[in-house]
Amino acid sequence: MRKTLLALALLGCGGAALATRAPYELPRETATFKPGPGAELANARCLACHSADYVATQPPMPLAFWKGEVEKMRDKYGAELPPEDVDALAAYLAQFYGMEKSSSQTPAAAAPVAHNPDEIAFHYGCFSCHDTQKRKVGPAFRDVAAKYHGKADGRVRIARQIRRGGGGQWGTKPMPPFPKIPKPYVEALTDWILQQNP
Amino acid sequence: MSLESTLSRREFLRGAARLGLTALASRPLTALAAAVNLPFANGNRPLVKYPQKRPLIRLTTRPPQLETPFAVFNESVLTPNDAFFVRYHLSELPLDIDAETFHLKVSGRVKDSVEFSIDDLKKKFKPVETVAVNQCSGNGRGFFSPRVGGGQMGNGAMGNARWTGARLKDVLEAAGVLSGALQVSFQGLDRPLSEKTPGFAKALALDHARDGEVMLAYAMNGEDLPFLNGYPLRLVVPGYYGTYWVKHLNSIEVLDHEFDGYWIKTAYRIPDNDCACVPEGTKTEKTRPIGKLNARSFITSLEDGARVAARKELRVGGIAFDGGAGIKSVAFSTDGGNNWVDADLGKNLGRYSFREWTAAFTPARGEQKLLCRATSNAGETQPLKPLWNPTGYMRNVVETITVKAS
Repeated sequence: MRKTLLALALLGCGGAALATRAPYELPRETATFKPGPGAELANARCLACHSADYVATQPPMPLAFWKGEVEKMRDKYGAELPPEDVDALAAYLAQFYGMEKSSSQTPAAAAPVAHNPDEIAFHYGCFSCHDTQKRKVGPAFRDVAAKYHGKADGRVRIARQIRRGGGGQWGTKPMPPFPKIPKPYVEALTDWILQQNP
Repeated sequence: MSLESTLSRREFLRGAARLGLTALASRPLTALAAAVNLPFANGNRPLVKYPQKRPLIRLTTRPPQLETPFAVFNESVLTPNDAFFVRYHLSELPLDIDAETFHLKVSGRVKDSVEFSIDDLKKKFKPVETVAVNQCSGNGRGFFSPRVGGGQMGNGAMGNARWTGARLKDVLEAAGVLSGALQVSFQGLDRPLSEKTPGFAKALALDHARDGEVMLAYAMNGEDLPFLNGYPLRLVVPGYYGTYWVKHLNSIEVLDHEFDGYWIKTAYRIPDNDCACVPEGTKTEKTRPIGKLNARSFITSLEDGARVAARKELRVGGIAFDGGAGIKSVAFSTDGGNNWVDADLGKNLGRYSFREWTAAFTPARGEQKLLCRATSNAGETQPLKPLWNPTGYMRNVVETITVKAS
């Protein structure tokens, strides 16, 4: 079959047949959550399963609607949402995508008291999109470590990626920014990621 | 994106009109517009080109949902494959499907679990063809008032295609359905990211599955299915909403019990009453799974707000369809619905297809409100006031456009 396809391609009429064999290429994802208090929660809790335009294209709706949506994502679709994040996330969505002019809620959850890096990673939702060993929405931490291990600017680049986000190096889905993670935690996460080098 | 220019639909269509009617096809869309404004709050959408597709109205990126620009429906009665709408539920798409190694498995309450390649389906079963409308349950949700959550589409989440495939009935027969079978469930290769998210599976009653019309389609308008429309195989359930038309279909299971998956048990449900509606802003007490399409019709030859020549006969064209009774008539009004005339119906491509219609009138100077209203062979017609339900399904109000004659 491969030979037939090749022959067809050489004849200039096999383009469609060949195209069905190559992986389908989705365009790069560009939608991002609006920056503001609570954006990190949305980045951490929503983007693993769907792009930000799922939120951005909704009509202007009140807080109760957004809270209902957040709870639906947790209860029906299995989103990993610690109880303390529900109200804060709903408040962010209502303020930036809904009818609420300002937030009355305490936006983002307080920084963790934990100093164990994988607990910090869990708190900030890193595991929504990353696994230490295998590719998920984003690259495996061991692959990130392998890429930057031993490079002079490796620590700086990983830390910058966490704080500013980025995209293009690991596929079509961008990494959202997490500018509010306290610097010591970013450093702890960076060192921990580099330690995953196989 | 610096190249992205915002161009309203009307401006775009005026531009397209200057290029001639055929210019409503793909080229000007690519060249002129990078965005459209659907006519409801927060209706700005980018036009994005995907492989095998012309630029389409993007609702969401992951999983992808793309809407057909409405002008396409005036291009041809069959919606071109590259313009056909796209709707996924789950983010993990089977991007590297290989039609040569792909297999459809039929299992459950059957004599033998069997697997068929696409080649088997083409050679072992008599190919059948049906022209049928695939419409998203939430087509037109953006027009609901009060607004409801969910995919905010205009009216472009529908399409009409000639589907070719094997009858599900024949395939089930080959597997040998055992006594006690009650329903048949269907699942494709698209998957959720999280194991906690319900996989996308649907089911039909056994009698429905064996009615000889439900089809396993491997071709659409004479070509392989586009990847985003379910390549290499999708379920075609004529007359039913798109939610049942499972894409990348690779698993059929005959069940001896009622299917209890999330996408029927919890999602895609409508008020369990004749109108599938409740008073605006209220909740639904009792629900049932969504089923057949209701009657709809659209004017496709003119956009809302179009300028036309006064005192000169104008032939207006459009489409009508329903859930399978077939279209009996389309009424056309030029005065806001006070007086109606019967439109001329176009060629009948089958009772599940779009039915084209035309009607002529001579506009007086000024604004004219144009309406169309389909009646099916079963006597179903469209409501003059929109019906409402909290999930934004099954919109089929009589649509109105305003034209200005001068």
